[in-house]
Amino acid sequence: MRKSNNTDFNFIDTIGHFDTYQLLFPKKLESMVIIALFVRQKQGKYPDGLFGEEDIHALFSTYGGTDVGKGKPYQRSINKEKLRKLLKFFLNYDEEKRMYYFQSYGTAICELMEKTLEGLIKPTDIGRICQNLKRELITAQDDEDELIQWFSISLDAYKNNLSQQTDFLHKQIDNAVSKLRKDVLSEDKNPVELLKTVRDDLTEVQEKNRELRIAFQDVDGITNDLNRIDTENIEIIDYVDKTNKFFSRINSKLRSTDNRLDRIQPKIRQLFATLSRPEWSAKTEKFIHFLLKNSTLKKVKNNREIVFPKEIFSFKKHIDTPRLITFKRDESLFPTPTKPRRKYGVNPEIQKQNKQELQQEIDELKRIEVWVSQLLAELDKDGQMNASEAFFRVLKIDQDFTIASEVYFDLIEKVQQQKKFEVNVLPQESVMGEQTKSILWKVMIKRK
Amino acid sequence: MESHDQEKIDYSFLLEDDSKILFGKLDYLLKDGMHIQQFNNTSKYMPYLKLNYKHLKHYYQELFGVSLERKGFDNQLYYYLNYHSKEQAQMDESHKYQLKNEDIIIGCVMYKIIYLDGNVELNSISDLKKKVSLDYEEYEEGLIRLIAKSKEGEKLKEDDGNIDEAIDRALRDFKKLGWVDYEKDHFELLPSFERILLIYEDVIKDIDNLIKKYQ
Repeated sequence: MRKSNNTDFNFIDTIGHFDTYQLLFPKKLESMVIIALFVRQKQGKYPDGLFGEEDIHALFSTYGGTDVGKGKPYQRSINKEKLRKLLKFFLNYDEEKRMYYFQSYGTAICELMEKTLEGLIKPTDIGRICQNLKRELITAQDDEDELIQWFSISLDAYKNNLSQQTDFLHKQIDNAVSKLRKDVLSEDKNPVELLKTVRDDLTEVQEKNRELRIAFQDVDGITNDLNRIDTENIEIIDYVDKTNKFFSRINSKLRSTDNRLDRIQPKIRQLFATLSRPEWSAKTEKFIHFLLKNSTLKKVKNNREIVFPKEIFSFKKHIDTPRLITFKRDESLFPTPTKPRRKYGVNPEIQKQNKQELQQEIDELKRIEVWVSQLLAELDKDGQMNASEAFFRVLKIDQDFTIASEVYFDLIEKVQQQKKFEVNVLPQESVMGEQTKSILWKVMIKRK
Repeated sequence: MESHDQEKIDYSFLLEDDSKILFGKLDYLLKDGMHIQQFNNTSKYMPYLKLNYKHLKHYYQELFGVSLERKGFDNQLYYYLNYHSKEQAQMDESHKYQLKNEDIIIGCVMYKIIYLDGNVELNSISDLKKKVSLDYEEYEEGLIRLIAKSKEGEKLKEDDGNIDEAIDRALRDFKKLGWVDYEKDHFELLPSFERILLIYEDVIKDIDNLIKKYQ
């Protein structure tokens, strides 16, 4: 529903309009004044959140470097203009009381900045949030509507805070390390002091991370309870899945923060040790240059090896540890003995019989070949042939039905392959052979 | 026997249960040059070493003439056998293995990049290679001559490739010593990496005189 209201609103166009952008993001001096007002208001310096114009001018003076004694005259009229611009989004003027107070944009942006830079929620708060969430989940888990409410309202309200807190710690390490990098390279800073600060910063992050981990202990309980929910409601299943992923992301982020700190701390300490001895660092650099300049290459076998100047010995890393000879039964050298194979002797009688049978088969094949070529020759000569009669002729002479039928089929197949003849089957006429009861339809082969 | 007058050495620690489980493997690791510490897979030997350090030191000193050293503090503590002590001079050279000089050079350059120049967050091997190749022109000539083994002059792609390979080889050798740990592209210098310079401490302290000698 809300989306349809937004159709005529274009965020980018609006923010780029006239000087809206500048009014939303004022310059450093104005911003510092706003932030200082915000801080003072939080400290309770302004009853009912109301402050006077003089308070604002005093802050302009402080942050503009025009404090009494600094010699720079205070430009009241210019700052009045700046104040006027702040009235658009940041401050309001109460005409009755003639006092100023914060607009919601001013408060919200200051809170966001503060939260981002410092991490608003204390680990103990997170612990409390998790405990509350768990308690609410237990009461809601038997009612699907309440469960959905738990996901969409109770949990959602804290999700941002929880992940913001973990992100914040991660960022804190980055800041500490980049501060260190930047300042190591600039020579006007006292490196020892600097390193101490960075180390303290990191120790603080580590401590906070540890507390945070403890605070998140209840998360395990929440995920266990979630996984016990037995439902077929797709919305709830979807929520459970998303929540599990959310908590697992938070846990892995906390773990990775821990790991990063574990890895960085020793290096910081080493850096600290090195930088506290600038002479040693300078000499180390000279040493590296010396090695690179004065080492030579010597041919050893097919390689060229680096030889250090004679004053610099090579590093001996270890002595020859005994290489124990072990015995392993190598399959290729000691193959498993083969099992004796059973031998079957030749039975000459069976062998002879098999040979005879085989020979008979071959003879039959040859006989068929002879018959077929003879019949083809006849057909070539006469131009036509009664194939059925030919069958009975073969049967009569050879007295073998198999040969006769093989010849008959072979003949018809070959004739058809040659394509010069046509085969006609005449079912109305039948052919009968002598000395046999078989009857065949008349099959005539004729030259085309 | 020479050690008659010396304090009686107690080897009874070798009979304890812990020794039965750990000593054999630890002994091999130490003699292979491994530096035992909290941050790699040798951490399981740390409690045993801490507990028996005195006895073990005697053991290696008396029986092998090698000094078992302990350096660093807190969780930076590490142990190793020092083959550079004076007593070691009598040891047969054929029993000693040397780290390649190429590795020493690469190691020193890594030390410079990470500790002297404060690149404490550098832990990608490919980024390290890139840094050596692009940001350390002052070493380029020496690295091309000694590591890429090329003639002096303009650097070629092959030279970069050769230096990259040398970095890989050095990391492999350092891992065997327990100076670094790496997995795929991610590497970490371990506390014992400082030994690469501590070995040459005397030379480094006197480097100005040495340079004069070579001018």
